[in-house]
Amino acid sequence: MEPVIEIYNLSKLFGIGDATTVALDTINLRIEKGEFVCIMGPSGSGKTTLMNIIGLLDRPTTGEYYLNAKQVAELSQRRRAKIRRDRIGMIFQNFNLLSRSSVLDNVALPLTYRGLFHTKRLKKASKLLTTFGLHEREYYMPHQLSGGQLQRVAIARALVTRPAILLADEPTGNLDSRSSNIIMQELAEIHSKGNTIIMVTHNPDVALYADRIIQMIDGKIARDTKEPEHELDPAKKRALSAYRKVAEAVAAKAKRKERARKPAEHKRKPNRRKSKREEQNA
Amino acid sequence: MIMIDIKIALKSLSTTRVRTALTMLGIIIGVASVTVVLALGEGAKDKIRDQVNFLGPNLLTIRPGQATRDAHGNILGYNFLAALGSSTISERDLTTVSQQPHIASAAPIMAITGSIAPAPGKPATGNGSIVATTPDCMSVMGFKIRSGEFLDNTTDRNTVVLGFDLANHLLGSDMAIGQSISLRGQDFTVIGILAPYDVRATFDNWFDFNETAFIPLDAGKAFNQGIAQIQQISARVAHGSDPKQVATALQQKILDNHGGENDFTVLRPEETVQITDQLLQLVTLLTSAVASISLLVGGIGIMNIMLVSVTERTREIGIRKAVGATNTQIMRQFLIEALIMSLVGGVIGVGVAYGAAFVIGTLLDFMPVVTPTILLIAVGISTGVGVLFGVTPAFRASRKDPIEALRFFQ
Repeated sequence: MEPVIEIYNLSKLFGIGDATTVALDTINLRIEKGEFVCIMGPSGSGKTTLMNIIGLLDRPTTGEYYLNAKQVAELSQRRRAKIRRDRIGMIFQNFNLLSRSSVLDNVALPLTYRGLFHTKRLKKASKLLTTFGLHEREYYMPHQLSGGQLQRVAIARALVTRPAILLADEPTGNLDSRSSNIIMQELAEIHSKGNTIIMVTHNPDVALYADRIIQMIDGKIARDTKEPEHELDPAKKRALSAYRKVAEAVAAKAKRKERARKPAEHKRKPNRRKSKREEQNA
Repeated sequence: MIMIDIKIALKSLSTTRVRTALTMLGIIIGVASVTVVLALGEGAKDKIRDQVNFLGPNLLTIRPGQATRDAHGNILGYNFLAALGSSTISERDLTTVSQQPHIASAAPIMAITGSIAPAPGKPATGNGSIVATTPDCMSVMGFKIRSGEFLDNTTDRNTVVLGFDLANHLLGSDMAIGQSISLRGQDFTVIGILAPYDVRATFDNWFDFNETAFIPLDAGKAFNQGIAQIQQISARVAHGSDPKQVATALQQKILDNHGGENDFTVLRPEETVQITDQLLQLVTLLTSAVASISLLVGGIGIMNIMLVSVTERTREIGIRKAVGATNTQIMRQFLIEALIMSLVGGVIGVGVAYGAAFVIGTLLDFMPVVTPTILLIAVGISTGVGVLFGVTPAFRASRKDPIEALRFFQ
C-alpha cells in the first residue's frame, strides 16, 4: 500500500514564553491509502490540532509532513488552497456552515472555487443532499435545521468534491445513536469506495467502524492498533455485529421511508407532467 | 469565474441592503455633484460659442490689457488686471481703426457709471448700464430697432436709445418714444428702443444690451470731463477680407499710436472665446475639485464599510478558505463588492445628475450639457474610487490565516 500521509517528529506549540502549551509532541504517523483511521483521546490531547495540520489549515511548529510524498511545508499558499479544494474534505466539529447561505449553497460552496457554473453546482449539491435525505431542506437556512441535519449538511459539503481524503472531526459528536448510525453507514460506504478516512471521536461504538484506532494522550500517540475484525475478542465481535445489524436496519428503514414519500414520482417516471415538476424542483 | 464572483458579491451585498444603500449614497452624491459641475461648465461654454456664431467670424474686438501669444499668434494668456485700470484705448485709436481700408465699421463702448431714473427726482432703477457709443454701433453689433431710431450723426447730444428690457422696466412700454428719462440727473429724450437682443451678458460682452441705455459718445465724454474712456472698440472686417490679416495690421497701426507700448489687444471672435474658455475651465476645475471632496468622503465610506464587513465575516472567510478558496479568490470577492457599490453608485449618480441638470437648466438661461466625455469621467472616477478604497479591505481579507479565521468568535 502506498502511504498518503507521512508525519515525522511533528510538534505544534501554542503561545509564547511561559504560556506555551504543547498541543502535539513529536508525532510520527503513517496513513496508507484507503485506511479508515479513528483518532481517540480525551479533550486537549491534540486530536483536532492534528486534523487541522493534516487538512492543511494549520502549520506545524517543527517536523515534516508529506502528503502524497510531497513535503507540505514547501507548498505555496495557493497550492495548499488547491489541495484543500481538490483532495481533502473536512467535516468540522462545529459544522462551520455559512450562516447566511442556504443549505444548498453551503453544499455547493467548494464547487464554486473549482469554477463550476451555478446550475451545475446546484445540481451536484442537490443530488448529494437527496442521498442524505435532505432534499426538502435544500432552501432552508442552517439555523432552521436540527443538529443531525446540520451534521449531514456538513458531510455533504465535504463529499461534494469527491475528495480522496476525508477528515471528520467528531462527525457524530452531538448526535443521538440513531443519527450516528446513519452517518457512520454513510462514512463506511464512502470508505468502501476506496477513500481514506480519518475520524476523531470520543464514542467507542463509532470507533468500531474504523480498521485502525489511534489513542492520543497529551499530544502524543499512546497506542496505535490495527484491529482486523477476526482478531477481536468474541465479546467485542458480538457487540460489533449486533451494532451493525441495528445500524443497517435503521438505514434500510430510512431508505424505505424516503421511497415511500414519493411513490407517485417513481410510477409516473415516463410521464411528461412529472418531468415538469422535476424542473420546478430543480 | 468573474461571473461567479459577481454573484457571490451581489448575494452578500443584498444581505445587508440598508448598509449597502447608505454606502452607495455617498458615491451617488459625489458622482452627481461632479457631473453637474462639469455639465454646467460645458453648457456655459456652448452658450458662449453660440454667441460667437451669432456675432459672426468677422468681428474684431480691441481691448486694453496685454495678451501673451505664441509664435503662431495663438493666445496663451490674458492679463485681466490691466482691464481694471484706466483704459489705454483712446478716441484716436477709434479714428485709426475706422480709417483702416479693410474695416467696414467700428464703434466704441464707453461704459458710464451712473443712475438711470424714469424722471428727475424719481428713484433710480437698480439694474441697467449706460454706454456711450457712436451710430456705427448698430451695424457693428447687429442691433434691430423696435421703435424710433438709433443714434445718428444728426441727433442731439441729450438723446438716448434704450435696450428692450430697460425700456419696459423704466417706462413700462417698448413704444415710449419722446419721453424723457434721467441719466445721472440729466434729462435725456428717448428716441429709439431696440428689439430684444439675443446675446446676453458674458465675459466677452460685459453688458447686457437689453438692459443698456445708449447715449452719443459726446454725451458720454461730457459725463467724464470731456475725455473718452473707451473700454472696447468693436470693428467689423469688410466682406472678403481675412480677419486674421486685418487684426495683425490693426495691431501694428494702434501700436504706432501708442508709441510702441503694447498695452492693448486685438481679439478675433474665436479668441474672445478662448479667453473665456480658459476662465470657465478654471472655474469648472475649481468647483469640481470642491465637488470631488464629497466623492472622496463617499470612497472613505466604502472603505469603512468594507473593513467592518471583513471583520464581521472573518469566520466566513475562514470557511471559504477551508473548502479551498485561494487568497486571490477571497481578494477578488471583496474587491468586486466594493467595485459594485461604487459603480452602481456612479451610474445612479449620473442619473441623478441628469435630473439635477434639467432642474438647474430651468433656473439659468443656458442648459447644462452632459457629454459622453463627462459620462466616461463619471464612470471612470467611480471605478477608480472603488478600486482605490476597496483594495485595502480586500487585501486584509485575503491575508487572513484560515485556522485563525475559523476560531474567530463574534
